[in-house]
Order: sequence, then C-alpha cells, then structure tokens
Amino acid sequence: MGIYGCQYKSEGRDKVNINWKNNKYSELFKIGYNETDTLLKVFFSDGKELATYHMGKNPGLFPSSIKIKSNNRRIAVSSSIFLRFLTELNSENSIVAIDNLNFVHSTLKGYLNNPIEIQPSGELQLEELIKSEPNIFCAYTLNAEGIPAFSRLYKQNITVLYIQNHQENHPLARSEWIKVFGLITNKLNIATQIFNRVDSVYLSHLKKITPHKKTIMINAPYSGNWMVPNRNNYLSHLLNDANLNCIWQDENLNEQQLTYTIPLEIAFKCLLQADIWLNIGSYSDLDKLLKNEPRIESVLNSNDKIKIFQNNKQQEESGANSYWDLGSIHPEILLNDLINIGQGKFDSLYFYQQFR
Amino acid sequence: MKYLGNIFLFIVLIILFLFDLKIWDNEVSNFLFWEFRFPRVMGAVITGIGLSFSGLLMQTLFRNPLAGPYLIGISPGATFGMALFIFLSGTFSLSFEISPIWGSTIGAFSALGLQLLINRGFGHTHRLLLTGLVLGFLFSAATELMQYFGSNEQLREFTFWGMGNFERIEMTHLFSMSSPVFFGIILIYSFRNSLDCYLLGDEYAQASGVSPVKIKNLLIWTGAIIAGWLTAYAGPIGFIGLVGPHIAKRLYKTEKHSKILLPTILWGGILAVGADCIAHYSIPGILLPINPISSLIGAPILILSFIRKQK
Repeated sequence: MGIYGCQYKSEGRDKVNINWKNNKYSELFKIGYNETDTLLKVFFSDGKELATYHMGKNPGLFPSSIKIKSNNRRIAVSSSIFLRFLTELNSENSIVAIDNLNFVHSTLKGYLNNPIEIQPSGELQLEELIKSEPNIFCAYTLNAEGIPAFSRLYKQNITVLYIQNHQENHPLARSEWIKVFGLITNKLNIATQIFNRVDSVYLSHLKKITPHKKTIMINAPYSGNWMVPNRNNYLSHLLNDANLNCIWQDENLNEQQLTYTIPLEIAFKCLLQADIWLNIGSYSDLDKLLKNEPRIESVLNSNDKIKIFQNNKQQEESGANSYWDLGSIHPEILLNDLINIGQGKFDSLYFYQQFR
Repeated sequence: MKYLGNIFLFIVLIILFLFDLKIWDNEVSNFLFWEFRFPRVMGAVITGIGLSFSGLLMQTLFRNPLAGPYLIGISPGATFGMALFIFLSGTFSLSFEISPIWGSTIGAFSALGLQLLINRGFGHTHRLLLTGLVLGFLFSAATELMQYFGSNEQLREFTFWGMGNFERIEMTHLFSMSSPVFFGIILIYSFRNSLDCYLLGDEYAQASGVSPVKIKNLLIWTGAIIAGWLTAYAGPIGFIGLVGPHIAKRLYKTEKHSKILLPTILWGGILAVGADCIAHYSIPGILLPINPISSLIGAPILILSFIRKQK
C-alpha cells in the first residue's frame, strides 16, 4: 500500500501536511493522517467529493471537515451490509439502530443488542433514529440531492458518515470499505488485516480458473423489462473474474449506464445460447418464473443444456439473504461459487442453488 | 380512396418494423419472430387502435377534443387495480388464481361502478367529469400508499408496468386483446349516425329520436372496457387516445363518425407502432419505456395543432 503526501489548506491558517494512503482498489474513499489528526474523504462515483471527516486533536485546523469522535460507542446503520462490516470487526455491540431487522440474517441477529428499527417500512424515520442517540449514523446516498435530508441530524450531534461502497465497481473495492469501519471503531489495523486476507484469497481463486469459458445470462424479466449490467458493473467484474462469458455483452449494445434494459428479443436470443443462467430475479423457484413468463418454457425446451442457478441458498423466510451483505464484504466466497458453477462443481456452492 | 394514404402508411410501418433484416441472421430467428416480434408489433397495433378508438368515444361523450379515459377515472382505476394485484399478491392466499389482466380490468370497472353509484347513472356529463376527477385522486392516493409499503421487487414490477411496454404481450394474448376492440368498433359503427346527432347537443339528439342517456351508456361502457382491458396488457399509455382522434379530425376536417372512425384507429396504430419503434431503435439494443415516448410524440402534435388553430 503506497503512501503519498499532500498539503491540506485550512482557512486562515498555515497549510497542514497530510499523508494520504492509497487504497488498493477503492476509489471512493481515502484516508490520510499526520501525527495528531486523521482525515477521511468520501467521493461520489463521478469523483466529486462528498464529504471530508476529521478525527484527532486539532479540529480547528480543518474547519470545513465533519468531526468524528475517536471512540464511537453508539452507531446507527442504514443497511445490513454496514452491520456485517461491524460484525466482522467484533463491533456489533455498538449498534444502536438498524434499518430493518427483516433484512438481517439470523446468523447476525444473535449478536445484536435490541437495536431500534429506523426504516421498518422503507422510509427513514428520523425521530426513531434520534431517539436511539447514536454518535454516528452510517448512511449512503445516490447523489447530492440526498444529503439535505440528514442536515437535522447534525444539530443533534449525530455525524452522518456516507458509506458509498455500493457505487464501487470492483468487488474488492466494495470489500475495502471495511477500513472505514475500522477507522471509526479504532480498529483500522484489524480491518486492514481482514481486507488483505480477503484480497489474497480472491486472488488465489483466480489461479483455479481453467481455459474453458462458459457463456452466461443473468436476471429475469420484470413486466417485460430485462435488465443487464454493463462491462464496468460490479457483477460483470465478478463474472469475468470467474471466466464466464457475459453473452449479452457480445451484442455491442450501448453501455453508458451501469445497468440497462434490453429488448426481450435480445434477452431470449442470449438465453437460447447460454450454458448458465444466473440470478433469476426474485423468484424462489422455477415454477414461479415460468408462471410469470411462460415463454421461458420454450427456451428451456430448445436449450436443454442450460443450467439455472439462483442466489437464494442463504435466503430466509423474512427475506434476509446473506448473498447481499456477506457477499459484499467477502467477494471471494461469491467468486468461488461462480468459478465452481463455471467448472460444473455444484455440490459445495455457498450462495447459489441449482434450479435445473 | 380518401383513406389510402393512411392505410398505406399504417401497413408500411408495420411491415418494416416486423421484418427488419436483423432478426433473420441466425437459426433462432423463427422462434424469436413468433414468440416476440410478431406478438409485440401486433399488440402495439391493437393497443394503438383500441386506445385511439376509446379516446374518440370519450371525446364524443364530453363533446370535448381533450377528453380521454383518464377523465372519468378509468385509467387511474385500472392502475389502482394493477397495483392491488401486484402489491397484495402473496399477502392473501386465494383458492383461485387472479391474472394481472383481471386486476387492471376490475380496477377500471370499479371506477365505472363508483361513477354509476355516485351519479345514479351516466346522465350528467359534468358530474361524470367532477366525480372522475375526485376518483382519480382517490385511486392515485390508494396506489401511492400501496407503493409505500411494497417490497423492492413489487415496486420494480409496478414501476415497469406503469411505464408501459408491449414486450410482455404474448401470442396467446392477441385474440383476447383484439376481441373487445373489434366488437366495440362494429357496435359503434352501427350507431355512427346517432353519435353525430348526439354531438349536436342533448336536445337536438332527442328531437332526432336519439336517446342521449342510451348513447352516453354506450360510449362509457365501450370506451371503459376497451381502455381498461388494453391497459392491463400494455400498461397505462398516454396521449394515443388523445392524439389519434385529433389527427383524424384535423386531416378530414369533420367530426362525422362515419368519416373519422377509420383514420382514428389507423392513426392510433401508427402512433403506437411508431412509439414502439422509437423505444427499440433510438438507442440500439436498449429498450426505452413507451409511455414517455408516446407523450413526447403526442404533446408536440397537440401543441402545434393549437398554435395553428390560433393563427
């Protein structure tokens, strides 16, 4: 990990030297420090700065930054992914509020100390959040328009920390955000060790790849709309790393958006040629999918070699599925599944189950 | 002979769209053509014809060129019915299956039933209009509430349906889609002279031996069944019902139903297939939603027409 220096200019004061650490994958946050202070910068996916946070002894030197206390004992989170990050760092006891307990996998629920639900119906309930008295609220935003909604929290001395790992396009970049959680819980070294382990296992999986490439189709239609990821999307990175050929990307379509809707004609043409079909929407079994889109039956009859997998092996009745949170922090498990699917080893899959 | 231009444009557009050469470049083309291309284009044609026809009936009912199925609460009712189906499916276990098509149709009929109940019939058009406005707000509020409590998947399903598209239309749907449109057109055509009398006012119609109440019932039921039924298949598609009859009336400079019925339905088909064509080919390989496109085509046509009228 490289370190480079730069000068942080504070208003009306001398310039302060900050050493910024280079991340290995993530481009949406960076951590910098000097002897007494630590800074964290968070960015939007287009590179624009979202916020700068300060931890340390000299807040006056960084007047435009948002202060984070060094010892955060009370943390609120707006996603089960953030809860998983904190659990990895054994900091689950500090969680006082969570978005929706239905989305928390049962393997995590046991660690929690009765947190308040702040988004039970999807909309954030600020009153409940404030009642839980957190020092810090880990949230995400899609764009700058989402920021003013949280301005009232600052008046209550609640720091809103933007966790933008969902906007990272590389699987390991998403995982690298554990360092940010390490920073706010004073466990940066442990977080770095965990990430390095994830990184090395991920890279070791890449060595298992065989030259034979299987073609793959993903997703399922919603009301006649079939969405697929572009080449730069997080999922495409994983599929390419697993040596799977994303067949819709051979169609030379316009790929400006990270995910885009393709006509059913093209989607079914891809499905007819694919060896593997992954992540079939939110369907819990094949019958439900066929009931909703009967034309798939004809495809399955024409393409009898196709194997279908759904990412719901870890899904519980409440809807919680560790594919989303554990898979985000441990992409090496996800990659291992995808490589095994590509190589026809279906017995030891962790997130996926075979439908056909 | 007068309609030859319209018919020619209609047929050429359909043929071009059905048989663009790209689809014939591999062995799966036969499957793709019959499973997707043909039902989609024909679905667009039927939807366009039906919506434009339904729009003409509403414009006749209100004697107003800006009327459409949304005015009496049919479209919001159909949307509410579909929302009910999407957001509540799985909540109650029913011993029988309800198709999404029925969800939307039942919603449209609920709007009509409420109109009938509140106004004790369809006699007063201004009361129909006011009640339709209130029902529209009511159905929209109920739909928004359901959206608020819906899951991500349900929201996605409903949002995509609400944007409108012809992709989900299957070969087996074409017969059931076209039946009410076909019979509705024949029925209305047989009443074409009575409708012309009705356009001149209730008193004139009565003096000519035409019952305005019967005509209103005929227009509302036929228009509502067709609009509600087609909305279930293609989603709510705006402006075609408004613009199709408008173009026909402008081109032939008459409101006589015997003259404008054919161009109205042809232009409905042309607009719908044109919108679907833009949805598919404006950004190659990416499918755009129909509803915004039909509005983007329809709104300028109407505005241009208003400007010309003012001059």
